[in-house]
Amino acid sequence: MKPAPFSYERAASLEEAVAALAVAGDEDVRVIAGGQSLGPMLNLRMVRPTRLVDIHRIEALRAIDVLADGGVRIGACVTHAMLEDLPSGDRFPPGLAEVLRHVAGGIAYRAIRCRGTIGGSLAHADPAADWPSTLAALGATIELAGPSGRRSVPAGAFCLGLFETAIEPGEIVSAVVLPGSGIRRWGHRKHCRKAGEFAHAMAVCIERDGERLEVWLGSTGGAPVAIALDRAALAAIGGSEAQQRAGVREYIAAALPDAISPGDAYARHLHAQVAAEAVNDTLANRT
Amino acid sequence: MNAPRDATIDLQLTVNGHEAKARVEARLSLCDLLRDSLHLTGTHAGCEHGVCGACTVLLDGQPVRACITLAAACDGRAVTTVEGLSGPLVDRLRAAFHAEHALQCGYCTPGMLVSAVDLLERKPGAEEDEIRRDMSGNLCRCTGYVGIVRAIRSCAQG
Repeated sequence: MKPAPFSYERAASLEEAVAALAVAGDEDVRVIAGGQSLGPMLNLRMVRPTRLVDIHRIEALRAIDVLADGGVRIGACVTHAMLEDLPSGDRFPPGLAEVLRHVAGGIAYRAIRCRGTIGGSLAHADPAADWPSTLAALGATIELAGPSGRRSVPAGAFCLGLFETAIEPGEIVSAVVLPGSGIRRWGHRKHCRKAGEFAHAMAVCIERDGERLEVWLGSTGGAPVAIALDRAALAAIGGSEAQQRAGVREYIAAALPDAISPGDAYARHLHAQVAAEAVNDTLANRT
Repeated sequence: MNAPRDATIDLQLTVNGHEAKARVEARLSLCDLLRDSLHLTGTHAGCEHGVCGACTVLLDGQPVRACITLAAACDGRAVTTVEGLSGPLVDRLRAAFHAEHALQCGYCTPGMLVSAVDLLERKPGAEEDEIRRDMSGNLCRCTGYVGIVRAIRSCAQG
């Protein structure tokens, strides 16, 4: 339960970190921020890097800035706890701080949230992580820094599969940029067998005026998956409150993409149920 | 693998208010630094992959898992272990853990106390369901949760 030996360097700036990632020979270099995913993998020797580049002290990566266009830029090394503790009365677009506080506060345990970072969670791309699906639904872009400069990737196209992302060799996640448009209603639900455990199903629903309802599923075993819902069809579901909720559940069970846990009726039921809860929370504004 | 064997780092940090210096391997965890180098064996190593919470300590006042925090990452920072917890809240928690039989074998207790101190400092009036949720990252294999939750609740305001 101890890591294999490696060498360690702490980068003082993003430029220094990118330079440190230049690999020589048969080196296996990994970036570490909070280490809340990499730490267990090192201890279990699931990974055996020869060198770690620690970016968690880079001050520029720990900033949360409101941009001129009303958007919000969150540095890669901002911890889940910092987002859980976002003060009220900030200059964030309406609804955004509530979503971030709720999602961040539901990640694992406080001691994990105090170290784990939003950028590290994205780079690690565990299918059960909360940020990949949430940031896709929020229409975020992921900023990457590499030897040939900076580039941005839409959050919905960032995760490619199990532990697989759009990060190219030598690149580091530097920030998450969230759009400035306000959120009208939202819902986020996940199913864990124990509080704080890896989720078996997860869904987030974001409603903005004049835009399509963004509903994304996490914990799919691979990349987050969007489900297309017809707002008119949802609005047409009538009856009592209980009947409406059941109607939404039926509609989502029918709309669940075939790629989600094919052949596993129980898993598909869980995904549909959790997605329906997120959508029902949104429609009822019960959040 | 040609992992470097001489990857050592010189550290200086504050542990329970005292300056500590150590030359450590880069792969050493904060937990092993505390226990094996500084002989502070109150911090317990349980699962060693961040699940059980027995190794929870305060790093610059915030709870962290010492088993998945590299000692090298703590250079220049302040660590508080169960040995260094003090103050009126800690005194009340200690008495409450005793009164409510909140420990059996005691293995989880250091982590429980550190997490409980952090919980009550952030949420002084925490209700039982909130305490149960917030303490869910600390496992007790004697299943003494009823006593643990009761002890923490008795130290909450209101």
